[in-house]
Amino acid sequence: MRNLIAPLIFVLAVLNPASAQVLWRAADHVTPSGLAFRYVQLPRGQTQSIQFGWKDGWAAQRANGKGIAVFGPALVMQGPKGSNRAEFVEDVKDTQGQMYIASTPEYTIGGVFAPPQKFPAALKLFATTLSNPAMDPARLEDLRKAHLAAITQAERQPLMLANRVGAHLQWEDSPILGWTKDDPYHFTGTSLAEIEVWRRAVLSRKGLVIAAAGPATVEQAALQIDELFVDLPPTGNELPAPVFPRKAAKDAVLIEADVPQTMILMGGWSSFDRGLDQTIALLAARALQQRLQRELREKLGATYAAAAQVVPLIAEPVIFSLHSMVAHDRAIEALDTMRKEHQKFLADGLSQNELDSERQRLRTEFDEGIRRPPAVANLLRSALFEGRPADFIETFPDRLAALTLVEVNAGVKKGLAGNSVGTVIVAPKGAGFSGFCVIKAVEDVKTCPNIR
Amino acid sequence: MNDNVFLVEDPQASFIDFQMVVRAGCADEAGGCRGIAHYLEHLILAGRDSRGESNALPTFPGMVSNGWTTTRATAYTHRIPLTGQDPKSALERLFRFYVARLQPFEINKVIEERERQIVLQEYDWRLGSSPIAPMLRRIDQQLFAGHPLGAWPIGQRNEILALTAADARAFHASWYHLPNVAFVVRGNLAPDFLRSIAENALAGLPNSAKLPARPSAEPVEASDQRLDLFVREVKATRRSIVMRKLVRMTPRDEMAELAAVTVLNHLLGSRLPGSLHDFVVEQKKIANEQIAASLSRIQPGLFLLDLRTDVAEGIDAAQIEAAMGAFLSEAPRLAPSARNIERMRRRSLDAARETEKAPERVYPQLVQWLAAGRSFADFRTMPEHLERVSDAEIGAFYAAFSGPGRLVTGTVLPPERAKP
Repeated sequence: MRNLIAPLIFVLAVLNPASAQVLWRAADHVTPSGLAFRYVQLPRGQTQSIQFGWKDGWAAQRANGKGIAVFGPALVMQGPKGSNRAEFVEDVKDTQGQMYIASTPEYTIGGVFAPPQKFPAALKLFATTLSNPAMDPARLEDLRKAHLAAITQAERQPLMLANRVGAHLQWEDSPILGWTKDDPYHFTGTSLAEIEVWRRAVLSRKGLVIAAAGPATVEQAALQIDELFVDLPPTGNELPAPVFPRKAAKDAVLIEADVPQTMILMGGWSSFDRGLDQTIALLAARALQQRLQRELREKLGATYAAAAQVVPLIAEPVIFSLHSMVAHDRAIEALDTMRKEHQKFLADGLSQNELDSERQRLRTEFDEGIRRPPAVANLLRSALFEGRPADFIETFPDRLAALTLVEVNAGVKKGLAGNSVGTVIVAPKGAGFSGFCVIKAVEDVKTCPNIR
Repeated sequence: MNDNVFLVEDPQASFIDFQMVVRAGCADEAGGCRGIAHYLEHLILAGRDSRGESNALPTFPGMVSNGWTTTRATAYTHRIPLTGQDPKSALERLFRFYVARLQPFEINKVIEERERQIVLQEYDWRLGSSPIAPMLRRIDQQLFAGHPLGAWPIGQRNEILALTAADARAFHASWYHLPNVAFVVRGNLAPDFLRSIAENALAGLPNSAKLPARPSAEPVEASDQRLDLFVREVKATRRSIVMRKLVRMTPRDEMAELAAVTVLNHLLGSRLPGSLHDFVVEQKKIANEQIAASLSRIQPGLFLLDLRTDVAEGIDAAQIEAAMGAFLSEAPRLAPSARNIERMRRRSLDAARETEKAPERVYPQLVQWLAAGRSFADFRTMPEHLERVSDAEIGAFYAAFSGPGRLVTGTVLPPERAKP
């Protein structure tokens, strides 16, 4: 009989076994200073985490808003006034934790997490830079140069190029169009004064959404939250709901470029709403992705990978898209296959096997994700932004398990049937596609019919 | 005795993670790396059949499967959700599949050609649009002077087109034997449960094998030399500089070397005095933030120091390159202070201890450890070795950075700029 060495037995001290149910309960609380927050105590969590944000859409309404959205948070995270920047970076690393602020078209979000014994130090560092950042003009110039160089290089990537062309199919001419495309004018003129306006408008206690998770008691967490935000100003600006003018383009655009593979991107706005709809959208995307992998990779041998995905450029509605980078000599066949699979999917929906498989996968990812306090706090924050009740995350497995095939396929039809689908191809000259508006540069897409 | 099954118990896991790691990669290909090991990785997993026939990878609802190949190892990885799934049956089917794959197996012509095309598409996807990949490849070829550890596992485009099933079978016949593989499993499983399944599954396989000499184990005989490479790359929109140096030191115990490298990487990646960032940005006052340094262990006493930067607009590339060169030549005087070494030692230890608490982090670390051919017995001893990294050891490395060695510098320029 073969002997196996004693396997590495890694035993965590007295843990609850894996269960079909989520074993924690989130609840809403208020800190001593009056800040509302949602919290779940995870006694075995290895980090303490606070995630927060504002539903502001501030930057996205401005002509050069993405510059504000990129440079503003980055400057805040350079460290507090009066500190040595290198030392700040190293002090953060010493906490074994992370902290961040970032902006999307609709939100400004931030977070901090670290092992419990180092969380107080992380909190102190983050609090000082959040309330009193150095905002060094010289750093703004460094960030600007680096970012402009990065976006120029990124446009050489076929998927980035396709996305920039595709943005013209999704948005009317508006700041959000330039945002999505990373138009350089968003970054070249952004001034420190504009960033300071953003900071005063958004980074305040007003409208602040807070979620936290970790081994601390709720009382300890409340004090930590108060410490983090103690020096934030009480109010900012009124933040009107942002406007994102979408368009429903069915165009087919081909941009000629010297690329090693042909990039095919198809997609458009869906009618999936929030909540369960977007779970259905995710299941649908994954099922379709598996089909595309089978057809394009395993049957055609045309690609290494194909993707179908839900793209939340804004929270609602989401874009539903498919893409693949394929061999040039199989590109026309690949496009035909993608179109056919997409149509078939719209007509037939998922099979029971597909639903079972993707549901399992999603559940596994959820289970794995909720082991980590930062991920739990992130989910709680999203639920708060959507106005969901405290138990929304912990009851997700029940909602997922309860979805029937009939419901899912009804949801797919509601979300996708009848919606416009645009197609963008990035291919060398003379690729042989017909029915496309052919352009040589991203801005030339405005010359295509129906696109301004 | 063959000891090849490892379990990371994870009571919170609602799935099983399973990897088979074969201790052979592209550097072990006879005649030099042409991408055969990677091509075989594709062939092993090809031919998925939901009916679970013995020549096809078994499928489970929600399963995720993948493979990866390095210069030293090839691995096959699966995650199987357990909701509604019997773990015993799932493990038995996976082991049965891999037992079959550790013996000669069928590769039909259709799959042979299809996977060759897919590997080609993977090559184009990973490297085709990268402005810096061709230069990095040239650097490694020059740095390692033809040694297979300097090759890239995916091979070159023309080599991929020429790959055959016969090549794959020959590599398989050389290396795919039980004594040369490790199975690493993570899940809410008891050791005896896994042991029983594994013993039954592996019982029929030969317990010993005559493995060929490993080309990857041959000493890298790269002479001390300095080479500068320049390329105008049509895909590049900015200048990039990569400097790689093979640094030789007196070989010591593997764990001591690995521990020193861990602490050094924290130092080199920091902004503290002694780091590349501090030298270039703070001391030389060159405002170029996109700069990085790292160190890796190649063989006993042989290390690879990697310095790289994307040159910001308005910065003189020659000035940065000179500063990076000066970092090497002045390294002995730049060696960090005892205080900063202790800080990085603490940081390394803290990171190691945090990882130990998390099975989801232990698992991939163990896989990489075994893939590198290291002893399982040493796996959990890293913290004690980190404690013992001395200031003198760190100083010795900094002295070696400036010493003799093989240094290759590659500069990638956008097409409109002339060679400096």
